[in-house]
Amino acid sequence: MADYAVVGKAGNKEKTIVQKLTGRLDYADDRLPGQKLVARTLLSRYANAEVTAINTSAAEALPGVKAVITYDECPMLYKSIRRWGQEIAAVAAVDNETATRALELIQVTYQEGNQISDVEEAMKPGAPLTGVWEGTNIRTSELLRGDVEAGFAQADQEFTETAGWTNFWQHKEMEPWSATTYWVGDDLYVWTTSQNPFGQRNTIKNTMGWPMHKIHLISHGSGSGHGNKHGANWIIIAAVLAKKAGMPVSYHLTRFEQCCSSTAHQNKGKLEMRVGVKNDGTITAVEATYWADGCSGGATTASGMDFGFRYTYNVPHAKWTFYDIATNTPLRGAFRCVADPPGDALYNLVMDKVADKLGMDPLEFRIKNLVAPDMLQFESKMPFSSMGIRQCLEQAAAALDWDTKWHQPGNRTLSDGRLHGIGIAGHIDSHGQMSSPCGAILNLTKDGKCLIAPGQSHNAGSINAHCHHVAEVLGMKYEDVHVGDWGHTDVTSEGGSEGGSTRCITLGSAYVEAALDARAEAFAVAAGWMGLTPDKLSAGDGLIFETANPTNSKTWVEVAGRFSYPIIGKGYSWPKKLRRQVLNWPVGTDCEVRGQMAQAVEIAVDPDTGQIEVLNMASAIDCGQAIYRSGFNKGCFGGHEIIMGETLMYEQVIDYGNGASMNPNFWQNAHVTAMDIHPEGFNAIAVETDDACGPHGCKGVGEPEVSALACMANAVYNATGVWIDSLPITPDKVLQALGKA
Amino acid sequence: MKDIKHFNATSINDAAAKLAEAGSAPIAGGTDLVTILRAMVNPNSPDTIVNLKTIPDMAYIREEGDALKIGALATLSAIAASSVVRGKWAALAQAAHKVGSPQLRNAGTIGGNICQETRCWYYRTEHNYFACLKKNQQGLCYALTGDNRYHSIFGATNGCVCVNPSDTAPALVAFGATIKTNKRDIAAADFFDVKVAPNKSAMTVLGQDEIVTEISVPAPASGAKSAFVKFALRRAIDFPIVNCAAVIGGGSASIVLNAVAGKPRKVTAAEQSIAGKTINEANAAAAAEQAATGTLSIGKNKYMIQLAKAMVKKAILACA
Ligand SMILES: Cc1cc2nc3c(=O)[nH]c(=O)nc-3n(C[C@H](O)[C@H](O)[C@H](O)COP(=O)(O)OP(=O)(O)OC[C@H]3O[C@@H](n4cnc5c(N)ncnc54)[C@H](O)[C@@H]3O)c2cc1C
Repeated sequence: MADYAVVGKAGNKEKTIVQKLTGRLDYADDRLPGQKLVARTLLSRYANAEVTAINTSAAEALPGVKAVITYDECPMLYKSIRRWGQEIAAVAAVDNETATRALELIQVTYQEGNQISDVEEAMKPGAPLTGVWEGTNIRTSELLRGDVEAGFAQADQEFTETAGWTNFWQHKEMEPWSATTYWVGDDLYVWTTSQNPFGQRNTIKNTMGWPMHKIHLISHGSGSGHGNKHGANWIIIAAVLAKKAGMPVSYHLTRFEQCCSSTAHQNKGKLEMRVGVKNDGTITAVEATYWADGCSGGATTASGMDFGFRYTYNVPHAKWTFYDIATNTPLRGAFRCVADPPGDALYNLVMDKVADKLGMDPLEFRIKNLVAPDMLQFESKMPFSSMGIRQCLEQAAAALDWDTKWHQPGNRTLSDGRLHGIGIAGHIDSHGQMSSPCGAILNLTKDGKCLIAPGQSHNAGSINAHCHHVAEVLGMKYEDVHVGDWGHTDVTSEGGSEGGSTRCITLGSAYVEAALDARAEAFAVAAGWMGLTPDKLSAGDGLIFETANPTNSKTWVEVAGRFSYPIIGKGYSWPKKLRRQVLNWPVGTDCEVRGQMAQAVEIAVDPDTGQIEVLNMASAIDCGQAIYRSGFNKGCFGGHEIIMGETLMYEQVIDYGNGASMNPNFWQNAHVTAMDIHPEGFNAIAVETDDACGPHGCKGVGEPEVSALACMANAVYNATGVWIDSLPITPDKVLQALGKA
Repeated sequence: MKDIKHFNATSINDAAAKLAEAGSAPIAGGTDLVTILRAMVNPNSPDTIVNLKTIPDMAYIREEGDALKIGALATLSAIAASSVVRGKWAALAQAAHKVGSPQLRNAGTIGGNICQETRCWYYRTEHNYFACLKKNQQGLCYALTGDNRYHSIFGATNGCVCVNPSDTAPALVAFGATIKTNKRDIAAADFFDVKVAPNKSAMTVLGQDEIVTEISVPAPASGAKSAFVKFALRRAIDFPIVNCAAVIGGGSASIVLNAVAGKPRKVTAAEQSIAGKTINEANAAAAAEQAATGTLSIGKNKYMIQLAKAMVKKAILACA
């Protein structure tokens, strides 16, 4: 492993921590106070219907209402309704109360269709159509590897195990969708929450036909984004209203709108897997069927659910069948990825069930069947740029003292009468890799500092990671690298999507290039001054020095004082290729760059109430190299908090009678609170494998922790001796499993 | 959303006079009422709000003779912190402390806590998406056939299977408190009800111009101990799925569950089982088994019967 001066060092602070903690990070809703109209949307009362007539005249006549639009004027409003709460019309008025009252005055006539919000109902043969797809509720796809029956013929034993359904879950981010928009002539100005400012500009252009250069989009602050802030629906609604009203319009969704409307939800999934194994635990073949609730958007992403399994396990023969089912439920979309989290939960549960049938320790069973570092990925035929899955499993287990604490299911009771359980899960993720190309720009100022200008919002910690990459290359101190402007489509370079755990590696690589570019110019200035050639220079610890004689040095401040103009560095992201040789694969080989992870958890189950307390949890994540170390820890901890809520407590409950969301609020359906977590019992372990593709050896870890969905369920089995394989694992299910309800 | 008229009352009589007008309701901390108004939960919700906080001297907490007297406007945080309450009336202090979050306890009052609306998610869906029985006599009780995981295990009250969510109510009933209004004294055990299609405090027997002024809680028998326990998914914010208050000692026992029915539910069989006995694991478990007497699962809420037993047991043991 390389010894870095800045990268991976503990104690480097988040660049905008004060602004974030004091709410001063320039969020979209803070813009143009007192000058803008407020938008609200009219949501459908039915989950499947056609709007046959709409009359907005009374709403338009209400004093204070400045614009009313319907599906006739805006493609983000709908006439064909396929989910409860779908947007039909929108109003801009002088305040929230007037806009809300105007919605009540809009008369809508519906022709009701068959709503089916229960995925089990929608997939039954002969079920009425949900109207999402033409003529069917189900779409199917298949994937084959090797010769399945030959694989099963090699097996000594065969098991067919099931898991699911996983739960339906909305993001519940602190800042809902939010945009402030206004027009100057044909120029549209937008402030928005975002995971991809340039992508949003593109979507607005493609949807509305407005010229790209006339769309000026700025995203400075985003109150978190876990996959829900790539779209532009809310921006387009606000912009169309602003155009019609001739005034600035802000659309900041209410929590109710956020849960019911177009925002993404993690889908429900189910799995049945036939597994052929030898007596020693080696898997010879699998035949798997996945079902995914494609919801009302008609997403077909069931095949993504098995991604982790295909990458993690050395199974030469397999057949997969994937069913996507369309239902009249809120949209499915990315929430820490589109399909991985439910899928990772399902196959990790099945792995434990098979280990249990074999009488094997589930950790040992997993390790036995892992892909080996010298294998090519079965489907892509590419090598991995680094491989830490085994260390992840071993280190997560060791952190919880697995060898002593794991026991036969249901046979350890704590002194307070609660049942003790321990569980593990892990996988190679689809995330953490190089994604679509993007660019980076930075400025070296004449006072010896560096200002970066990333084309992304302040969301998670990746902007801080870029500062680490840049400081390392320039040999500056971390404190001397600052964030200038960012997330502004007019003045920053395309920063790509802050999704798929890709920023630290993709935009990070562009920043390494930009820093090298600027450093070359600065070295030229320094070399001229020092009477050397630039190739004789190095930089580190705030100095530029002669490599062969480090005492011959100048500070960055001194060198920058001699710049006749500020130096600009630019760079582009790297391709997904090996940058150093790995085993026998040469530099330049196309490769798989994949984040890898394992979680182990220790819990106590109260047999009287079914309540589960997380006592200890360890999360070991192969990040290649931790770049921004406290960001790594925070990301793991945040992931832990999300997963705890998702696994043990909440789901978005849909009333199957009419497709309504029953708990679209924070008092019935939210994240765990600080009171529910024992920070001292949480252990984040960076497994550093020095990735052969990523800048400074890193891979992305923005979506860690998803294995934890299954490790909780596995721990519940270890505690109770009964499988609860549908999420969330709430007290009702635990008590039922224990025969008490 | 309605235009709301706001009226600052200067005295109880002043408030009562204003409340005699149809469509008016009192407001205390507003932590429940304002959320109902904002979310447009009920088309019959009030359009005139009568502020009780402007009436002087209604937030006291004091011991008078052998009784605890609490003004209706005393906040939950004041009750939770009061050394008087924490002494003889520990279960009440514990219950007040278990409500919501610090912010809600600072604003929320005891009067509002016992008069709060149900949290039934069909009733509370924003914009009156479910015009249910509780708001509309022609309506259906959607929870009967729908998702009733948080609904009554003791059958319906006036056709509605919602539950009373108050944390302080079971403690007050267990202590045998009296709720004083501007018109009468009502035993806490008789105070609660589920009214259908009302426009004001719909979970109590209060009349249109009736205001809770004081809560008077007699001291428990000497040697008695009290405790409050609550089961919720999270340790903060969440409403009870089941809660229980117990006052046990001196040969008698008073045990009351809430969030299990439209009104707080005295578990007489459990009281009889434990009264006069030593409090230990076996006796508590035997009494808790009695808590299931008369329960009825309506679909998804069967687990609440076990939770009721568990809470009764825990409350009894906490009185040891
Ligand atoms: C997120 C959240 C979590 C919560 N968690 C809990 C919880 O865990 N446990 C719990 O018990 N509650 C909980 N609550 C409900 C509420 O905050 C409390 O019950 C609080 O005590 C209500 O008091 P208030 O003074 O704010 O009532 P208000 O909202 O002012 O009034 C509530 C009702 O009582 C009536 N009312 C108020 N005072 C009087 C009076 N003196 N006489 C007659 N009628 C009156 C009002 O007209 C109204 O109908 C929660 C609320 C929220 C928003």
